[in-house]
Amino acid sequence: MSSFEISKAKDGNDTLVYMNERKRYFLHSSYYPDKEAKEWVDTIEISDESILIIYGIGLGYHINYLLSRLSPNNRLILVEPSNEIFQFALNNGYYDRFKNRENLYFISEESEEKLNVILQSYIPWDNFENVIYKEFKQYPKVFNKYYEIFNKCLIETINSMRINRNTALYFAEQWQSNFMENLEYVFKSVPVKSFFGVFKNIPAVIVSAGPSLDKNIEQLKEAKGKCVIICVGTALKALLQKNIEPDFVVSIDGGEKNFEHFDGYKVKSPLVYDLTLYPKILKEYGGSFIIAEIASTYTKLLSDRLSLDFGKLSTGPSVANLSLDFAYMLGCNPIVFIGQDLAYLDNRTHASGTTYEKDRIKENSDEKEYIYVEGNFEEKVLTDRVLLSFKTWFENYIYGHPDRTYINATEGGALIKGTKIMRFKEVIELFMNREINVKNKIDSILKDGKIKLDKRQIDDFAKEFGDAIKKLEKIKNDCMRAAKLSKRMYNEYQKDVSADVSHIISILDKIDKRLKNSKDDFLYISSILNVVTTKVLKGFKPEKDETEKQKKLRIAMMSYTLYQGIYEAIEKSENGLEKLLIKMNNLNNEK
Amino acid sequence: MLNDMMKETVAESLKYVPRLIDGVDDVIRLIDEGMYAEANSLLISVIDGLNWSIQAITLTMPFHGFDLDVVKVNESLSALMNGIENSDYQLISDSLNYEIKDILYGYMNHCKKGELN
Repeated sequence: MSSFEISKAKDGNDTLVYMNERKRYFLHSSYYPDKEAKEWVDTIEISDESILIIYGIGLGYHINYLLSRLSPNNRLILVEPSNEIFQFALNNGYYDRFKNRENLYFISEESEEKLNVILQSYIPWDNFENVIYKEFKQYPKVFNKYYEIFNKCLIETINSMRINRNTALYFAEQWQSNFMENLEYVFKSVPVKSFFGVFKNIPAVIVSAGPSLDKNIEQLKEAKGKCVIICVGTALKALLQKNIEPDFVVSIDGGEKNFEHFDGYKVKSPLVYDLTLYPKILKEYGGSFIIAEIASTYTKLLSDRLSLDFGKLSTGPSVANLSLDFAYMLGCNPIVFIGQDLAYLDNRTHASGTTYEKDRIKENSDEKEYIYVEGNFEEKVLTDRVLLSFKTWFENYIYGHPDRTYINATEGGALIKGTKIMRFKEVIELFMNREINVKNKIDSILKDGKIKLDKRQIDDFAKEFGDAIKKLEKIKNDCMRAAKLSKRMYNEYQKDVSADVSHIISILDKIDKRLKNSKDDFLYISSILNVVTTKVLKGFKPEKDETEKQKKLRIAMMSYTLYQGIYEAIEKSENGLEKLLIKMNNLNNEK
Repeated sequence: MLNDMMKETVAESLKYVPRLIDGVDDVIRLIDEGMYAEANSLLISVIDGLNWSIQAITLTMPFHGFDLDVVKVNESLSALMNGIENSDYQLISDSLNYEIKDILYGYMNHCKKGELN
């Protein structure tokens, strides 16, 4: 039996009645659905940047009106909680006026797991603050279960996007200088790709540094040699103190604090890293290096320029997320988590023996920061937004890679959907009962797999790099001039809103053209440049009811900030770029 | 005597009905904003007010001459009650906006024209 019916409204248009548990609800007006739709749309404030998410499509009257208020640039994400209504309306012409519009996405009755994945791909990471979320009429009430699920997914998606972007912006400068410092290690490394598929159907244990690791760390000795032990940098000290050498260590954080997890220990295990890693770790590390293309645009840049393929790993907001993809790419099955609390245990943040073992969450701090979620063993555990974003990433990943068994043997902490919950002791008994020569396999790959380049390749790259430095120097001077001109334009407008600044604008246009032709040279400073462009894009939004003068002043100031920002980005990068050029020339001399 | 009472009631209704229309608009606005609990509590007062107004208009008909279409009123009230029973706020809002308000405005406009008997 159909859960809805089409009836005639008083104005002759079709309207929609939804039946649920013997109750009937009009989803559009029973009198003037068309007029009502227009009135509803008129209340929405839309800017050119807006991404609109509409909960409730029904017969689409309001979407037809909405279209007339959108520019092609506006993304429209339409959610219809009833797949039955969606299919009917779509197949009977109700959506004809908008179904083929560019930049429009439909979502209808998806599972929570799929919703997370879909929203990640539909909402642009660099523009999530422009999301406008509107619920149509009584859709949230009539479809309240789906509404709650959808809202939860939307919040989680935006939350993890925010954390990822903040990380990228915060570390921008650091990452760039790390890349310059780390480049020489590329030629002492083995590409991660050489390990892909090597441990097919061998169990892997991902060791994270959550407080529950204390419960399993001793048992890990029994598992050694019978599985692949992948340890995140944060948990390394805790393992070494118990004389457990992991098979792989994974670390990518670019900040100085990351060095503390390695400081004072000589490690023999190979390290999986990306060029953004804090350089001192590579300088002092005792084991071999495995390079992967992970979060750094620089690693990709380098592999493109040198026609190398390091192998890609997907990373989420945490190194444990990355370790999961590494275990997957190794071919491991099942994949077991320990110490992956994603929650606080007795206010503790980390396991004993780690750098942060004494850290506690602050009592009575801002409650909004902490959230209760379902636990593996407890009904509720305390987590926060950042840990929640790790959890969301795991769940999306597991959902998207269903061909493996994922076991959470953390014995505490937050539930990760898609994992089986087991005691680590049982996992060892069940899956880890035969010796595997993990170390020999790894050693033989490490022995033969180092990246080799011929002199000509390095020569070409060094030349291209040297040219880019020269061009950046020219761009820097252009930007200094453009920043001064923008300042002058601002002052002119300040004095007289009708001031003739056409001569300034024509020079700025010429400079802009030159900048556009230099896109490739910007690649080497893209990390810092991202901060500049984000600042400009996000920081100069027009105010409501902006006057002509305000608009002109805003644009002049935006122009100044952009040029000044590029100038400073090049200035900050020059030293590192020069050093890198010297290193590359030295590499060539060593050949 | 009866005439005086009618005159007083009509005078009272002419003050009261515009306030009732404002109340109806408030309910519609609250529904639009998805504030259903607030809409419900105001709706109780609005229905009380409607009862009184309809009675007052009907009983004073000889005085003001406005012929209230009882069938239409009953249909409108029945749609409103139907909406309330189903918690169908679209229907509640529709019947208030396009039926009940029409009736109340009809009465006010008639009286404003000064066509009192």
